[in-house]
Amino acid sequence: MEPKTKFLVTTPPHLKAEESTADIMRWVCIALGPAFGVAFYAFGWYSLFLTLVSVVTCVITEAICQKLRRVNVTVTDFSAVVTGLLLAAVLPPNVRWWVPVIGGVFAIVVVKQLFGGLGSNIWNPALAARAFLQVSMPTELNSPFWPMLRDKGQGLVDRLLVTMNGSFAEYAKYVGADWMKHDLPAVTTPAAAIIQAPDIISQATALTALKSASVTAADIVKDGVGLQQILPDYSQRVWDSFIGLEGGCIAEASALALILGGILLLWKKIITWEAPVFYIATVALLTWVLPAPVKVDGGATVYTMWFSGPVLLHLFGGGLMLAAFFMDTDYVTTPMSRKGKIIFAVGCGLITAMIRLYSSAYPEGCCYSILIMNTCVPLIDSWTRPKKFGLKKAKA
Amino acid sequence: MKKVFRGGVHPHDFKELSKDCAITDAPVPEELVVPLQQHIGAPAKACVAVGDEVKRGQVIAEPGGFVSAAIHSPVSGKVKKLDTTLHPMGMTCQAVVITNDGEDQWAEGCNIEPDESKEFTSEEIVAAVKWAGIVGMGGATFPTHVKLSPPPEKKIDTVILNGVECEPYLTADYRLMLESPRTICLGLKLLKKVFNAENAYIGIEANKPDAYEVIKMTLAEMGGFAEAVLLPVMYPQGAEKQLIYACTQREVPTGGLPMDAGACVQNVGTAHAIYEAVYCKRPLTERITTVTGRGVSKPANYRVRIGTPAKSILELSGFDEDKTQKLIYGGPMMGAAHFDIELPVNKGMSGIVAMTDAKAFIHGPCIRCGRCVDVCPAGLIPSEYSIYGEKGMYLETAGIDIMDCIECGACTYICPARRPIVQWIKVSKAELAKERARAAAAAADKK
Amino acid sequence: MNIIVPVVIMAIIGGILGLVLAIASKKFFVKVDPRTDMVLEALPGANCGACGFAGCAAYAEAIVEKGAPIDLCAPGAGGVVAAVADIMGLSANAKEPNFAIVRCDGDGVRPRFQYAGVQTCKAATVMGLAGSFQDCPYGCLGLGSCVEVCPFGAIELNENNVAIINEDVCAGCGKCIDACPRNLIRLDPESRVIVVRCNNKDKGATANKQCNHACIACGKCVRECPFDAIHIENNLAVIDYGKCKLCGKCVKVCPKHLIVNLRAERKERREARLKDEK
Ligand code: SF4
Ligand code: SF4
Repeated sequence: MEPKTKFLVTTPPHLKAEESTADIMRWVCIALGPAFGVAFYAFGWYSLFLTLVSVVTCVITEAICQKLRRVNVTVTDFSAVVTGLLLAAVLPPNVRWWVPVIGGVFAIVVVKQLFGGLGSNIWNPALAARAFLQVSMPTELNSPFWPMLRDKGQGLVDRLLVTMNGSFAEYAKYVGADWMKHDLPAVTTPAAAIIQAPDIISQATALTALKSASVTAADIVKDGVGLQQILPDYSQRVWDSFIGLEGGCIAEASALALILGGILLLWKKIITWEAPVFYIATVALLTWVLPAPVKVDGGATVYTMWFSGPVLLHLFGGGLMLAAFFMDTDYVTTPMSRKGKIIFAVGCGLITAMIRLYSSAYPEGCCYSILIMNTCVPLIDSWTRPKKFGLKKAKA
Repeated sequence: MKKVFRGGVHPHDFKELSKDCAITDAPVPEELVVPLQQHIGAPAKACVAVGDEVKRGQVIAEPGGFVSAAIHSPVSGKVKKLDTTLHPMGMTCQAVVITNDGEDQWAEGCNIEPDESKEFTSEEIVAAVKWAGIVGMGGATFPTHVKLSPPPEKKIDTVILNGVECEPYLTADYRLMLESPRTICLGLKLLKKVFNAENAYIGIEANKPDAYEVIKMTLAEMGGFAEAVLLPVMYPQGAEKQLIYACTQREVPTGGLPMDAGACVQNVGTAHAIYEAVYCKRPLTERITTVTGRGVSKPANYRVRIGTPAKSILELSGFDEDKTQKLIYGGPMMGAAHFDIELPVNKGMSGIVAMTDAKAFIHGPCIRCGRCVDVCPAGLIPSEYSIYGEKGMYLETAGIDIMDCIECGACTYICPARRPIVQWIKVSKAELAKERARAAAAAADKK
Repeated sequence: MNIIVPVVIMAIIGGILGLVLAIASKKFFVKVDPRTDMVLEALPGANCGACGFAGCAAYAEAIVEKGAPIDLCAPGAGGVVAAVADIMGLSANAKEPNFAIVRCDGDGVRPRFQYAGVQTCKAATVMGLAGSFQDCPYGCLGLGSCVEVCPFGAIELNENNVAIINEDVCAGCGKCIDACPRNLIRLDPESRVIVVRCNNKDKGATANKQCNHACIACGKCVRECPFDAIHIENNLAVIDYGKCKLCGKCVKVCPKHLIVNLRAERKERREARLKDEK
């Protein structure tokens, strides 16, 4: 029935801050822009395709789930888009198309909607999906990353042409190839040639290189081994990781682009500085101070010297920047108070550093560290309730 | 500038609309509807009958209890009928309808020439305040004489005047400070006298530098018995406990009253009313009300008689009913939205805001962004109340300090999921009150 | 070939665990009265809590072990009590079923304003919301909080947005009573067929303005009642069921048609139910 007056009546307050959930999510998408830009440029069209698959899967799955749960369909709040983007961000650029589909469905159905949808999930959906994929199809995820094109000596224009003209067809073929065998299609274009060039395929990412480094007995000096012996091209690799020429997951490649995105989020006050700063600082401190194990001639283990870890590589290589600015600042799965965020970030940093330095196989620790700390959030929240106004003694 | 309370928000203040409009007298209408519930506490009891002649300032309703206030006729005229009217907050209350005879004659003994050199004792002042029916003019409408009579064991050493006016849109207090600093300061002096207090402050937000200067100068002229404090702009600076903290760095203990921190806070409008009551023997029959918002073409600050229908001052300001989407009595952060444009102006109505851009939001799930926690001046976790409320777990909120919430609305203002947190808080508090009443009744039954 | 090893290992582990479980269930067997299960079977399984226990299972246990009264189950009023009595070897005093009724017939009530915010009845009655949605401050708000809490789906909103109870489904558990901030819902035994369907406590003239179907306290019913069973309290007609003989005279004189006689309806329904039970 038509109301008698057209005046709107609600409880106070009658003013509302401009920013809505959808605005926040949109800013996160925008902040991921530079990182994805670098990725599309470096890894080619196929990474764009994977990203789209991931986003579309997440959005559709979310809509279906909400229909089934008989709640409002809220895909317009962009949170599914963010999940899709973050999932694509942590996938290698050479997985087959159904990997993001499985991951997206898992992220939305199991991690998000089964727990009650946006706001109620315990774990970061994208990272949980990544962990799920990691254990259920390790070969698919751990096959050598598609290399960057830097070693082929092409100029910028050439690279663009390579990725734009020829490669998509090759990627498409690759996608259709029998996935158990990892057969690669015949070489027909420069891009495919690059893909198949053995030296590049086997080129490990910087962190894997660190992990699998091996020294000869002659390299051992008094206190252990030095960085120079382990990774002779250290500074080159740091630089590559920083600007995005190192292989890696889709949006992890360029630390620079991720930092730009992070600064945007900080400037827009979407995130607060505590989590990224404490996370990065903890990892930096630990990887600098602690000695890491290295194999001698592939046999016995020696340790690197104290206070000499490859800090910069740990910071710029792998997914640390992505995790610092986009994963451990995720609202839903991190503590609410500032103090809680600090505890959370330090915990993440600790676990990341431990996995990176001492786990036997896994070179990257961001994903698991954040998932583990996600689990602790209710505990942290209950430790760090804000101080109630008025608990101080009244009279001095 | 002083250190302020934790949290707070910065809504755009829209004060530019009516800030430079000098206070004007609103015309007195033919008929006034004077509600008998204009204060917190027991409603006043009418003591006039239909057909009685009344003079301006004559008591038409006696206080209905200790926490209550007398109500005086705002005009001279005749009692037309005893009726009911709606209170902005929603309840229905009794009202005395008075036809104005246009003479505006004061009742005997009222409206004398002020003699500012005269000294008053504490008891005289409290008695005058009680007689004049003064209540908190900032909108809280707590009877002032109650605040001025604390139990003897509570020593009040600090009196604070609230010139913060942190509610957006409103400029009534600001104009009053600019135009009548003398009466405000004299009012403060009286308040200081009541408690024999050592300290007195007037807190003013930094977005009103001219008011600060004027007040500071006036205080200096009067011998500097009080300090004007410039406070950073922050909502809800004007909330009692937050203002006490900003001026004195004392925290009112949770569950306590300002007097537990040795302080008493009054609005500048109240101070002005106290001056009028004590020096001029003028009871509270008018107040300053800001009419503003984009729904009116000429925003203004009016001196208006209590009981004037809002419609008459709205129309004076060029009210556009078609454009207006939301009509708010009081400020936009804590005031009440209403559908009726005829509500009478009451003692606590500091403003009427006609908003043209009100949206009916549909709220989403809490995304745990933590903004509400950051802004809550009481140091609570507002999102918990919204989540408990959503699930209907109203009684469980007692365990998470809901009673410390001052309903300032900062959390609801900032929430990106547009969750009506304050509404849930109100429901929970109401349910808890019911539960307490039930428990008390059960206990009484047992005995 | 490789697959055989894990399969065998899993099979062995499974076997061992199964054995352990089997032994444990024998060894740590707790004797339960078989009647508990039977009573539980007989209860309707709605877990509505009307009996005062935490669900049907808890109630069944209480009946068998602690001898709780067997007629506490509201949804299962007649048949269930008989069945439980059978199991327990007690005599069945079949209880009369209760039905909830909504004491508002707010026909044609227009909302006064647009409302936005929490869409539950309790939230819509907090201070600061301009009084009430409609002109009548006593009537049904039409936001359906009772609809939501009813475990049996017995309540719906009619075309005027007023809650009505479907007595075919209503089990008389009384959950809706607490959900209504206006206290409109009451639990009445089936035989109480004369009801005043209004809760307006304002003076006649005011009430008349507020709603077409409001009790205007005219007192016709009071004068009509041969048993002095109906009175005006707070401007509202109230039936004293201790005196009421359900003659239905007041129904005919109410100018607002607020007093209703449910006898015919309920009779039909009861007959249908009895037929079902046979
Ligand atoms: S309304 Fe209450 S919970 Fe919300 S910010 Fe204000 S004091 Fe805190
Ligand atoms: S501001 Fe809103 S979305 Fe953010 S934590 Fe508070 S209630 Fe949740």
